Amino acid sequence: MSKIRECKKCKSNEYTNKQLVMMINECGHPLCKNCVDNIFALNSGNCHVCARVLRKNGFREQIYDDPLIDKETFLRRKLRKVYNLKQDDFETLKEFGDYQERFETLVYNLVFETNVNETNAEIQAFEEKNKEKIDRNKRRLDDDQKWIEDQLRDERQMKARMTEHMETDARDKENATAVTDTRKIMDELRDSNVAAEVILDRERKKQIEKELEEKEEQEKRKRRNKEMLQTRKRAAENMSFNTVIRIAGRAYLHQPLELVINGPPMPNASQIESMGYLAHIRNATPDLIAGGYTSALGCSRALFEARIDLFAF
Amino acid sequence: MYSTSTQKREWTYTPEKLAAVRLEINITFRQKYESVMKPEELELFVTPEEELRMQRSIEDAALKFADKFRPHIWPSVKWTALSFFKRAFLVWVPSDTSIRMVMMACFYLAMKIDEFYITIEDFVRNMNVGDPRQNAERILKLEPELMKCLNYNLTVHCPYRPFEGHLMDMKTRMLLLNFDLESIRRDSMRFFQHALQTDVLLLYPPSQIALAAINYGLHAQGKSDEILREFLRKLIGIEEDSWAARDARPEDLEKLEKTVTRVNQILKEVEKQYVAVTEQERESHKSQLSRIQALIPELDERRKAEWEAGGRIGQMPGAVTEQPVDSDDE
Repeated sequence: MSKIRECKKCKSNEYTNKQLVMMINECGHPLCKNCVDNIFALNSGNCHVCARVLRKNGFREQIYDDPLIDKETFLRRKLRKVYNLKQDDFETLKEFGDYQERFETLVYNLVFETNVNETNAEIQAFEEKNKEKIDRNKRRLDDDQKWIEDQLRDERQMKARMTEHMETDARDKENATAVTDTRKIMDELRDSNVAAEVILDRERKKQIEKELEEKEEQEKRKRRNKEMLQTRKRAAENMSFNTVIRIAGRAYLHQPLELVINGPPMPNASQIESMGYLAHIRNATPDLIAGGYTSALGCSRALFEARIDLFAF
Repeated sequence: MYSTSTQKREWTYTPEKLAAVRLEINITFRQKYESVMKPEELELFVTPEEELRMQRSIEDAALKFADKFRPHIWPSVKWTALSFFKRAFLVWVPSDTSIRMVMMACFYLAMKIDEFYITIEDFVRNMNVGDPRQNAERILKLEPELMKCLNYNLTVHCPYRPFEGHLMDMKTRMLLLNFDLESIRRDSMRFFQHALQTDVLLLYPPSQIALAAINYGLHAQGKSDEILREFLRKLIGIEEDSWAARDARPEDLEKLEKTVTRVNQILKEVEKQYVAVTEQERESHKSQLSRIQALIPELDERRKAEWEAGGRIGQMPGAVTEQPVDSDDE
C-alpha cells in the first residue's frame, strides 16, 4: 500500500491511530469511526464533503482503499438482489447480453450519480415487472455459483478424508503397540517366578506415568501456542518505528582532547580578562564584533602562538 | 598551530643538516655537467657558501623592494616570501634558475598566502627592471613551479604574532618595570629584518625567534638578561622568593635555563650570519650568475652530443625534468 489511510475530517491516520477504522456511507466519502460516532451521535447528519443527509446505520466499514471502488462494489451487491435474472430467463443470448449491459449502465449511473432519479425509477419499475422471477431466483443458483459450491464441497470432503485416514493410521499403530505390550506381559506372567501382582502393579504404574506424560506434553504445547499468539499480538500492538537499540562493541568513552603546547601554560578566557591582558590590545570595533571577533580572541591567539613550542629544544 | 605544521615537520633543520642539504644539491648540479666541462669553465661553478652569499644579496635587494612596495605590505608577507625563497633553494640551485624572478614569484605567492590582495598588474608596477608584461608572464609561469618545488607546503608561521603575544604577556605580568616596553619595538623590528637574511627561519620555532627579538630589544635599551629570566620565571610559574624557590621543580628550572640559552643562541646566530651585502659583492654575483647562465645552454648541448656519441639515441633520461625553470634573459 503506497498511501496512508487518513481521515479527511480529523486528519488522524494509520500512524497516529493504530486502531483506525474507516467508514463509508452511500455518498462514498470516507470518515473515520471516531468522526462517525461524533457527528452522527443523533443518528443522522450531513456528509462533511457533499452535505448530503446520511444516517448513522448507513455507514459500513471501508474495505477498499479507493472509496470509489468501495462504493461500486457495495452498490453492485445491492443491485444484484434485484437484478438476479439468469440466462435461462431469457429467450435469446442477445437479450441476456442486453440485460447485463443495462445492469452495468445502471451501476455506472449510481456510482457517478448521473440521472439518479431516473435510474431509481427504472430499477423500481423492473422490480415490479419481474417480481415473480426475482423471488424465484432468490433461491436459485446460476452456473457459476454452482461451480463454486461444488469446488468448496469437494475440498471439504478431501480434507475430511485426509483426517480420517490419518486418524486410522494412528489408531492402528497404537493398537499394534498395545497388542505387543499385552502379549509381552502375558509371557512374563507365565514364565517368570515373580509374583503376578508385582508385575501388574509395575505395568499399571507405567501406564499411568505415560498418560501423565502425555497430558503434560499436551498442556505444554497449548501453553506454547498461547504464548506465541500473545507475543505476536503484543508485537503488533507495540509496533514502533523508533531506532532499535543495538548493543554492539564497547561503549564510547569520551576523552577530552589534550592540547600539547610544549610551552608555558595558557591563561584561560576568564584569566585573560581578570589579569588585564585586554588593556594591551586594540579594542574590537563594532563591525569586528558583529563579525564574531572579540579582543579576547585576538589576545588569546597571540598568546597561544607565543607559547607553542617555546620549549622545543 | 606550529607544532603540527609542515613547517616543523618538513622545513625545520638542524644547522648540520642544512649545510648537508646545500652541499648535496651543489654537488648534484656540478656532477651533471662535470664530464663536459672545460677546465677554464670550472671556476664558474661556485661553492655552497658562495651560493648562499648570492641568495643573501638577492634577499637584501628583495627587502629593499618590499620596503618600497606600494601599497605598504605587512611584515608577515616579507617573512613568508623569504621563507619560500630559502626553502626553494634547498631544492633548486641559484645557477640553474633566474634567482631574481624566483624571489619575485615568492613575494607574489606570499601575498596571496597572507591575504594581501594585489593584482599582478599592480605587482609588476612596483618592479623597476624589465618590461611589465613580460615580468607578469614570467612570474605567473613560475608560480606553479614554485609551489610544486615547495611541495605545496604553503603555510608559514611568522614570529610577528608571537612577538605581540610575548609583549602582551610582559606588559601584563611585569608591572614593576621602570621603562616603557613599547620602546623596544623599533629595535626588535630591526632584529627581524636582520633575521630575515639569515637561516634562523629554517632552524627555530617562531615563538623562540620572537622571544629573541624581545631580548634583542631589551639589550638595545641597555637591559640585561635578568628581565628575560624574570619574565620566563613568571611564565613558567617559578617563585622568585628564595624560600619558595627551593620547591621549584628541577625540570622547570631546566626549561628556564634552556630557553635563555636558546634565545641567546638565536641572537648570536643572527649577529654572525647577518653580514650586509656590499655593492661590490652584488655586482660580482650578478656577473657570475649571468656567465654561468649563459654557459648552461651550451653545456646542455655538449651533454646531448656526448649522449649521442655514446651510441645512445632518443632523449636523455631526465632531460625534461632537468630543464631550467626559467632562464634569466635580462
